[in-house]
Amino acid sequence: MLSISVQDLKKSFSGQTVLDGINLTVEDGEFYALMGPNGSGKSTLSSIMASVTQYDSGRLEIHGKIPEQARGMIAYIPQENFSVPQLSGRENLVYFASVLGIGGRDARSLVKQLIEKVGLTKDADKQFSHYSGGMKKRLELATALFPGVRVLILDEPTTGLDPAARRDFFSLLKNIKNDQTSIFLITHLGSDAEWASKVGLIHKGKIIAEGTPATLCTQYAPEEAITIETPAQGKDCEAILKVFSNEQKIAQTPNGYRIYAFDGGQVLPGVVKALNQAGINVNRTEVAKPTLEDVFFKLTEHRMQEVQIQ
Amino acid sequence: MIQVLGTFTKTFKCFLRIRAVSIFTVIFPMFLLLITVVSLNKNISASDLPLAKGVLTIDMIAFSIMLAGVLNLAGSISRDRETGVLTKLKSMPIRPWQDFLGRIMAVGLLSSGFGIVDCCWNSYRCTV
Repeated sequence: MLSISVQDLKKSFSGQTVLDGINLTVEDGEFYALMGPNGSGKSTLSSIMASVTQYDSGRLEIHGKIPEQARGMIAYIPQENFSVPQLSGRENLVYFASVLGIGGRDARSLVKQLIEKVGLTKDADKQFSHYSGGMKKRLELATALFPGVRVLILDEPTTGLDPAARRDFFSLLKNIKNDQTSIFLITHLGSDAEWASKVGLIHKGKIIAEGTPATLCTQYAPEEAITIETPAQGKDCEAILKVFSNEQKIAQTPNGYRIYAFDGGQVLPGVVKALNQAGINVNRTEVAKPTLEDVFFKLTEHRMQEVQIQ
Repeated sequence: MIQVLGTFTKTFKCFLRIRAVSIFTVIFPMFLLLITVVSLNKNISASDLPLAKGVLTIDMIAFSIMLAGVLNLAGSISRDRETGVLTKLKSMPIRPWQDFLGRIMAVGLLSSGFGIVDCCWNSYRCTV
């Protein structure tokens, strides 16, 4: 069964089109990540799904209902924290439980369980404003565990978290997710999107590619990137490297060059040997598998700090 | 009803825990009015002084606190908007009137508390 169904969804602000005919579906229990740069319309889409923002035209259904009627099934975790700073973690959860219609002893016993699940038992009675960034996110993730929640919408939840806290957050998310709950994650980071089972790439208000992370990498960025750091940068070096690179593509990096090959591991020894024979020293080499960010850059023809050499 | 009570509890706890709000709602009006009455004492005849010190002062303090409490209602909404609580509430099954009623109840409790104290004080004076 479909958890989220979006058809030809359009939204514009002051005449500027933000979402230009979005089509996507999320199955029951699926973890879908929508990846795109700032200003691509991904946060607008998430707020529309959470019924915070109205859309102009198109169709959007959450478990067969319009978002306003499906509010009890949606847990929306916006980019910024939303808990009440003056209340403790426990009091915040009791408050949000009451908003969902759960009160009294039921709420208190439920909140106790949720706090244990997200690992905040010791700090449950601390004021929310005294929590660390990671603890705040974990507490807010607990609001997704209230009974009846079937769709979790996360809008860049790891913003401001260090790598360890980010990993903890996604591990926790994987652990607490049950088969019934669908997750819709908004992110601009490929490393976050790789946790998902399906990824959509959004650019200028349109979905430009969709699939599993592995499929997207194979389909759109099949080559591995070989980075060669060398102090001797010049035409001789470039000529040697072009021979080994797929379609003779070569990019200059701050400390050397980057070439592309379908099987980097096999090509690399030959590259190093050829450079050494030409008297060029190699300081460091690295073979990197394509990531979702490479796919995104390829599809949108962006380049990061690289100068393409014609 | 659970939603209304939840909002009421949250608003009331926030009121008690935000020091600036508590001070400006309760202590500041009291301080201001006591200063005012003391400074006005010069122009009040000796026979009317007990009345001014008694009924008028207490009434004015109670009224000011009730008024400040009501004004705090608007502050609580803007505070929730800034902290992102309102955005979260928009995505949850709570109607605006339920949220608003909960907030009004918290303000009402505070204001009526002082109102009752004032009434009791006046009744006691009349009795005496």
